[in-house]
Amino acid sequence: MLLFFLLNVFIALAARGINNQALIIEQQRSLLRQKINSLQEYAKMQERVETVEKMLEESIGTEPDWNALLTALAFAVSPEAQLITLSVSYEGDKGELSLQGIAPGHYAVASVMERLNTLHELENVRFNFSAETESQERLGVQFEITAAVLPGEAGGSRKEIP
Amino acid sequence: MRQNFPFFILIIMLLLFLLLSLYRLNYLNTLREDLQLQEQALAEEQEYLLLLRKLEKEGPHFTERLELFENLIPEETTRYQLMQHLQKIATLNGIRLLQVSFNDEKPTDAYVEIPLELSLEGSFQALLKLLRTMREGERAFRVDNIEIYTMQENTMLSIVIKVSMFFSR
Repeated sequence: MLLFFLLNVFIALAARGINNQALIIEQQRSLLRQKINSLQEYAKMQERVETVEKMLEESIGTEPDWNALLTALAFAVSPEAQLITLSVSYEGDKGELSLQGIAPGHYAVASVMERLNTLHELENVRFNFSAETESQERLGVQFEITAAVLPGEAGGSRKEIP
Repeated sequence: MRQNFPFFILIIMLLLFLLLSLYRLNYLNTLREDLQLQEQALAEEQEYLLLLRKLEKEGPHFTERLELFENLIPEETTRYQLMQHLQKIATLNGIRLLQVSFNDEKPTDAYVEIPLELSLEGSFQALLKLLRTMREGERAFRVDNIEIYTMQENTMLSIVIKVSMFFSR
Protein backbone atom coordinates (compact mmCIF):
# COMPACT_ATOMS: atom_id res chain seq x y z
CA MET A 1 0.00 0.00 0.00
CA LEU A 2 2.78 2.33 0.95
CA LEU A 3 4.57 1.46 -2.27
CA PHE A 4 1.50 2.40 -4.31
CA PHE A 5 1.11 5.57 -2.34
CA LEU A 6 4.75 6.54 -2.97
CA LEU A 7 4.37 5.65 -6.65
CA ASN A 8 1.37 7.95 -6.99
CA VAL A 9 3.18 10.75 -5.18
CA PHE A 10 6.10 10.32 -7.60
CA ILE A 11 3.72 10.38 -10.58
CA ALA A 12 2.00 13.50 -9.28
CA LEU A 13 5.35 15.27 -8.82
CA ALA A 14 6.59 14.20 -12.25
CA ALA A 15 3.33 15.37 -13.84
CA ARG A 16 3.67 18.71 -12.11
CA GLY A 17 7.24 19.06 -13.42
CA ILE A 18 6.12 18.23 -16.96
CA ASN A 19 3.23 20.67 -16.74
CA ASN A 20 5.61 23.40 -15.60
CA GLN A 21 7.93 22.66 -18.52
CA ALA A 22 4.95 22.71 -20.90
CA LEU A 23 3.91 26.08 -19.50
CA ILE A 24 7.41 27.52 -20.04
CA ILE A 25 7.47 26.15 -23.60
CA GLU A 26 4.02 27.59 -24.28
CA GLN A 27 5.22 31.01 -23.09
CA GLN A 28 8.31 30.73 -25.31
CA ARG A 29 6.13 29.72 -28.27
CA SER A 30 3.81 32.61 -27.64
CA LEU A 31 6.76 35.04 -27.75
CA LEU A 32 8.09 33.33 -30.87
CA ARG A 33 4.72 33.57 -32.58
CA GLN A 34 4.61 37.31 -31.89
CA LYS A 35 8.06 37.71 -33.49
CA ILE A 36 7.05 35.44 -36.38
CA ASN A 37 3.89 37.47 -37.01
CA SER A 38 5.89 40.68 -37.11
CA LEU A 39 8.22 39.18 -39.76
CA GLN A 40 5.59 37.26 -41.72
CA GLU A 41 5.43 40.00 -44.39
CA TYR A 42 8.92 38.98 -45.60
CA ALA A 43 7.75 35.41 -46.22
CA LYS A 44 4.85 36.83 -48.24
CA MET A 45 7.26 39.06 -50.17
CA GLN A 46 9.47 36.09 -50.98
CA GLU A 47 6.42 34.15 -52.13
CA ARG A 48 5.35 37.07 -54.37
CA VAL A 49 8.87 37.35 -55.85
CA GLU A 50 8.85 33.62 -56.62
CA THR A 51 5.41 33.91 -58.23
CA VAL A 52 6.38 36.80 -60.50
CA GLU A 53 9.70 35.14 -61.39
CA LYS A 54 7.77 32.06 -62.45
CA MET A 55 5.34 34.22 -64.44
CA LEU A 56 8.26 35.89 -66.21
CA GLU A 57 9.84 32.52 -67.02
CA GLU A 58 6.55 31.25 -68.39
CA SER A 59 5.80 34.36 -70.45
CA ILE A 60 9.23 34.83 -72.00
CA GLY A 61 10.04 31.14 -72.13
CA THR A 62 13.40 30.01 -73.41
CA GLU A 63 13.78 32.42 -76.32
CA PRO A 64 17.37 32.75 -77.52
CA ASP A 65 19.47 35.83 -76.95
CA TRP A 66 18.50 37.42 -80.28
CA ASN A 67 21.16 40.09 -80.07
CA ALA A 68 23.91 37.52 -79.58
CA LEU A 69 22.48 35.27 -82.30
CA LEU A 70 22.22 38.03 -84.93
CA THR A 71 25.69 39.32 -84.07
CA ALA A 72 27.12 35.82 -84.48
CA LEU A 73 25.26 35.41 -87.78
CA ALA A 74 26.59 38.73 -89.05
CA PHE A 75 30.16 37.70 -88.23
CA ALA A 76 29.63 34.33 -89.88
CA VAL A 77 28.22 35.82 -93.10
CA SER A 78 29.76 39.24 -93.59
CA PRO A 79 33.43 38.61 -94.44
CA GLU A 80 32.64 36.99 -97.76
CA ALA A 81 28.93 37.05 -98.37
CA GLN A 82 26.13 39.58 -98.27
CA LEU A 83 22.78 39.03 -96.64
CA ILE A 84 19.61 39.29 -98.74
CA THR A 85 16.95 38.07 -96.33
CA LEU A 86 17.01 36.52 -92.91
CA SER A 87 14.11 34.93 -91.08
CA VAL A 88 14.42 33.59 -87.55
CA SER A 89 11.58 32.37 -85.42
CA TYR A 90 11.22 30.75 -82.04
CA GLU A 91 8.13 29.20 -80.49
CA GLY A 92 7.79 26.92 -77.49
CA ASP A 93 11.25 25.45 -77.33
CA LYS A 94 11.97 25.20 -81.07
CA GLY A 95 13.36 27.73 -83.44
CA GLU A 96 14.12 27.94 -87.15
CA LEU A 97 16.42 30.06 -89.19
CA SER A 98 16.41 30.69 -92.91
CA LEU A 99 19.11 32.81 -94.46
CA GLN A 100 19.45 33.90 -98.07
CA GLY A 101 22.57 35.64 -99.23
CA ILE A 102 24.88 36.28 -102.10
CA ALA A 103 28.56 35.39 -102.23
CA PRO A 104 31.35 35.82 -104.83
CA GLY A 105 31.54 32.05 -105.41
CA HIS A 106 30.62 28.60 -104.14
CA TYR A 107 33.83 28.44 -102.12
CA ALA A 108 32.71 31.53 -100.13
CA VAL A 109 29.31 29.91 -99.50
CA ALA A 110 31.07 26.85 -98.12
CA SER A 111 33.07 29.11 -95.78
CA VAL A 112 29.86 30.74 -94.53
CA MET A 113 28.37 27.31 -93.96
CA GLU A 114 31.45 26.19 -92.04
CA ARG A 115 31.32 29.23 -89.76
CA LEU A 116 27.57 28.82 -89.13
CA ASN A 117 28.26 25.23 -88.10
CA THR A 118 30.48 26.44 -85.26
CA LEU A 119 27.79 28.66 -83.69
CA HIS A 120 26.54 27.20 -80.41
CA GLU A 121 23.14 28.90 -80.87
CA LEU A 122 22.42 26.74 -83.95
CA GLU A 123 22.21 23.08 -84.88
CA ASN A 124 21.28 21.07 -88.00
CA VAL A 125 22.73 23.75 -90.26
CA ARG A 126 21.61 22.79 -93.78
CA PHE A 127 22.63 24.07 -97.10
CA ASN A 128 19.56 24.28 -99.37
CA PHE A 129 20.87 25.70 -102.63
CA SER A 130 23.65 27.70 -104.18
CA ALA A 131 23.23 29.06 -107.70
CA GLU A 132 24.89 31.62 -109.88
CA THR A 133 22.69 34.64 -110.37
CA GLU A 134 22.22 36.38 -113.66
CA SER A 135 20.93 39.58 -112.09
CA GLN A 136 23.00 42.64 -112.94
CA GLU A 137 22.27 44.17 -109.53
CA ARG A 138 23.50 41.19 -107.56
CA LEU A 139 26.26 39.33 -109.29
CA GLY A 140 27.60 36.17 -107.71
CA VAL A 141 26.24 33.02 -106.19
CA GLN A 142 22.93 33.19 -104.40
CA PHE A 143 22.46 30.68 -101.60
CA GLU A 144 20.04 29.60 -98.88
CA ILE A 145 20.92 28.05 -95.56
CA THR A 146 18.49 26.81 -92.90
CA ALA A 147 19.15 25.76 -89.32
CA ALA A 148 17.45 24.97 -86.03
CA VAL A 149 17.74 27.64 -83.33
CA LEU A 150 18.56 26.31 -79.87
CA PRO A 151 16.75 27.52 -76.72
CA GLY A 152 18.21 30.19 -74.48
CA GLU A 153 17.95 30.60 -70.74
CA ALA A 154 14.42 30.46 -69.26
CA GLY A 155 13.14 33.96 -68.50
CA GLY A 156 15.76 35.62 -70.69
CA SER A 157 18.42 37.64 -68.91
CA ARG A 158 16.10 38.92 -66.18
CA LYS A 159 17.58 36.60 -63.55
CA GLU A 160 20.86 38.40 -63.87
CA ILE A 161 19.32 41.73 -62.91
CA PRO A 162 20.01 42.27 -59.17
CA MET B 1 -15.28 -16.22 6.68
CA ARG B 2 -14.88 -13.28 9.04
CA GLN B 3 -11.11 -13.65 8.97
CA ASN B 4 -11.06 -13.74 5.14
CA PHE B 5 -13.19 -10.64 4.70
CA PRO B 6 -10.45 -7.98 5.42
CA PHE B 7 -8.07 -9.90 3.21
CA PHE B 8 -10.60 -9.76 0.36
CA ILE B 9 -11.04 -6.03 0.91
CA LEU B 10 -7.29 -5.67 0.93
CA ILE B 11 -7.00 -7.46 -2.41
CA ILE B 12 -9.73 -5.22 -3.87
CA MET B 13 -7.96 -2.12 -2.57
CA LEU B 14 -4.64 -3.28 -3.96
CA LEU B 15 -6.26 -3.86 -7.32
CA LEU B 16 -7.85 -0.43 -7.23
CA PHE B 17 -4.50 1.16 -6.33
CA LEU B 18 -2.89 -0.80 -9.13
CA LEU B 19 -5.49 0.40 -11.62
CA LEU B 20 -5.19 3.95 -10.36
CA SER B 21 -1.41 3.78 -10.66
CA LEU B 22 -1.64 2.42 -14.18
CA TYR B 23 -4.07 5.16 -15.09
CA ARG B 24 -1.77 7.79 -13.60
CA LEU B 25 1.26 6.30 -15.36
CA ASN B 26 -0.63 6.42 -18.61
CA TYR B 27 -1.53 10.04 -17.95
CA LEU B 28 2.15 10.79 -17.22
CA ASN B 29 3.15 9.23 -20.54
CA THR B 30 0.54 11.32 -22.34
CA LEU B 31 1.93 14.43 -20.71
CA ARG B 32 5.47 13.46 -21.77
CA GLU B 33 4.34 12.89 -25.35
CA ASP B 34 2.56 16.25 -25.37
CA LEU B 35 5.69 17.88 -24.01
CA GLN B 36 7.79 16.28 -26.75
CA LEU B 37 5.37 17.59 -29.36
CA GLN B 38 5.54 21.05 -27.81
CA GLU B 39 9.35 20.92 -27.81
CA GLN B 40 9.33 19.83 -31.43
CA ALA B 41 6.94 22.64 -32.37
CA LEU B 42 9.14 25.11 -30.48
CA ALA B 43 12.23 23.94 -32.39
CA GLU B 44 10.38 24.26 -35.71
CA GLU B 45 9.17 27.76 -34.84
CA GLN B 46 12.69 28.77 -33.80
CA GLU B 47 13.98 27.50 -37.13
CA TYR B 48 11.22 29.36 -39.00
CA LEU B 49 12.05 32.54 -37.07
CA LEU B 50 15.70 32.22 -38.16
CA LEU B 51 14.52 31.85 -41.75
CA LEU B 52 12.30 34.92 -41.43
CA ARG B 53 15.23 36.92 -40.00
CA LYS B 54 17.28 35.94 -43.05
CA LEU B 55 14.38 37.00 -45.28
CA GLU B 56 14.12 40.30 -43.37
CA LYS B 57 17.71 41.04 -44.43
CA GLU B 58 16.66 40.31 -48.02
CA GLY B 59 13.69 42.71 -47.67
CA PRO B 60 15.17 45.63 -49.66
CA HIS B 61 16.23 43.20 -52.39
CA PHE B 62 12.69 41.76 -52.57
CA THR B 63 11.22 45.27 -52.82
CA GLU B 64 13.62 46.10 -55.64
CA ARG B 65 12.82 42.85 -57.49
CA LEU B 66 9.07 43.39 -57.12
CA GLU B 67 9.31 46.95 -58.43
CA LEU B 68 11.31 45.68 -61.39
CA PHE B 69 8.83 42.91 -62.15
CA GLU B 70 5.85 45.22 -61.79
CA ASN B 71 7.39 47.36 -64.53
CA LEU B 72 8.22 44.34 -66.70
CA ILE B 73 4.72 42.89 -66.49
CA PRO B 74 2.45 45.60 -65.08
CA GLU B 75 -0.99 44.90 -63.65
CA GLU B 76 -2.70 47.08 -66.22
CA THR B 77 -1.70 48.41 -69.59
CA THR B 78 -3.35 50.14 -72.55
CA ARG B 79 -2.52 50.02 -76.25
CA TYR B 80 -1.74 53.70 -76.01
CA GLN B 81 0.92 53.00 -73.34
CA LEU B 82 2.36 50.15 -75.41
CA MET B 83 2.56 52.39 -78.48
CA GLN B 84 4.27 55.08 -76.43
CA HIS B 85 6.80 52.58 -75.12
CA LEU B 86 7.48 51.09 -78.56
CA GLN B 87 7.98 54.53 -80.06
CA LYS B 88 10.29 55.47 -77.19
CA ILE B 89 12.56 52.43 -77.52
CA ALA B 90 12.62 52.72 -81.33
CA THR B 91 13.67 56.38 -81.15
CA LEU B 92 16.23 55.70 -78.42
CA ASN B 93 17.86 53.01 -80.55
CA GLY B 94 17.80 54.99 -83.78
CA ILE B 95 15.33 52.85 -85.67
CA ARG B 96 12.18 53.96 -87.52
CA LEU B 97 8.94 52.44 -86.36
CA LEU B 98 6.80 52.29 -89.47
CA GLN B 99 3.83 50.20 -88.40
CA VAL B 100 2.42 48.43 -85.36
CA SER B 101 -0.29 45.78 -85.67
CA PHE B 102 -2.02 44.41 -82.61
CA ASN B 103 -3.24 40.83 -82.72
CA ASP B 104 -5.76 39.13 -80.43
CA GLU B 105 -4.77 39.02 -76.78
CA LYS B 106 -4.01 35.59 -75.32
CA PRO B 107 -5.04 35.27 -71.68
CA THR B 108 -3.41 32.70 -69.39
CA ASP B 109 -4.02 32.03 -65.69
CA ALA B 110 -1.43 34.52 -64.49
CA TYR B 111 -1.02 37.03 -67.31
CA VAL B 112 -2.35 38.26 -70.64
CA GLU B 113 -0.16 38.13 -73.72
CA ILE B 114 -0.45 40.89 -76.34
CA PRO B 115 1.01 39.80 -79.69
CA LEU B 116 2.28 42.62 -81.91
CA GLU B 117 3.82 42.89 -85.32
CA LEU B 118 6.29 45.72 -85.80
CA SER B 119 7.52 47.01 -89.15
CA LEU B 120 10.80 48.85 -88.80
CA GLU B 121 13.51 50.42 -90.87
CA GLY B 122 17.07 50.95 -89.72
CA SER B 123 20.62 49.74 -89.62
CA PHE B 124 21.74 46.35 -88.39
CA GLN B 125 23.42 47.99 -85.40
CA ALA B 126 20.19 49.80 -84.50
CA LEU B 127 18.29 46.51 -84.70
CA LEU B 128 20.80 44.87 -82.35
CA LYS B 129 20.41 47.73 -79.89
CA LEU B 130 16.61 47.48 -80.08
CA LEU B 131 16.75 43.73 -79.42
CA ARG B 132 19.02 44.36 -76.44
CA THR B 133 16.55 46.91 -75.07
CA MET B 134 13.70 44.45 -75.54
CA ARG B 135 15.65 41.80 -73.65
CA GLU B 136 16.93 43.96 -70.81
CA GLY B 137 14.68 47.02 -70.77
CA GLU B 138 11.94 48.10 -68.41
CA ARG B 139 9.13 46.16 -70.16
CA ALA B 140 9.15 42.42 -70.86
CA PHE B 141 9.10 41.36 -74.51
CA ARG B 142 9.15 37.94 -76.07
CA VAL B 143 10.44 38.00 -79.63
CA ASP B 144 8.79 35.28 -81.70
CA ASN B 145 9.98 36.10 -85.19
CA ILE B 146 12.44 38.40 -86.94
CA GLU B 147 12.53 38.98 -90.67
CA ILE B 148 15.24 41.11 -92.20
CA TYR B 149 15.32 42.29 -95.81
CA THR B 150 18.26 44.18 -97.21
CA MET B 151 17.62 47.16 -99.47
CA GLN B 152 19.68 47.42 -102.60
CA GLU B 153 19.63 51.20 -102.77
CA ASN B 154 21.16 51.77 -99.29
CA THR B 155 22.49 50.02 -96.18
CA MET B 156 19.20 50.26 -94.34
CA LEU B 157 17.26 47.14 -93.51
CA SER B 158 13.56 46.54 -93.70
CA ILE B 159 12.62 44.60 -90.58
CA VAL B 160 9.48 42.86 -89.38
CA ILE B 161 9.44 41.64 -85.80
CA LYS B 162 6.68 39.66 -84.13
CA VAL B 163 6.77 40.20 -80.39
CA SER B 164 4.55 39.70 -77.38
CA MET B 165 4.15 42.05 -74.44
CA PHE B 166 2.33 41.19 -71.23
CA PHE B 167 0.27 42.39 -68.33
CA SER B 168 -0.59 40.44 -65.21
CA ARG B 169 -4.12 39.44 -64.18
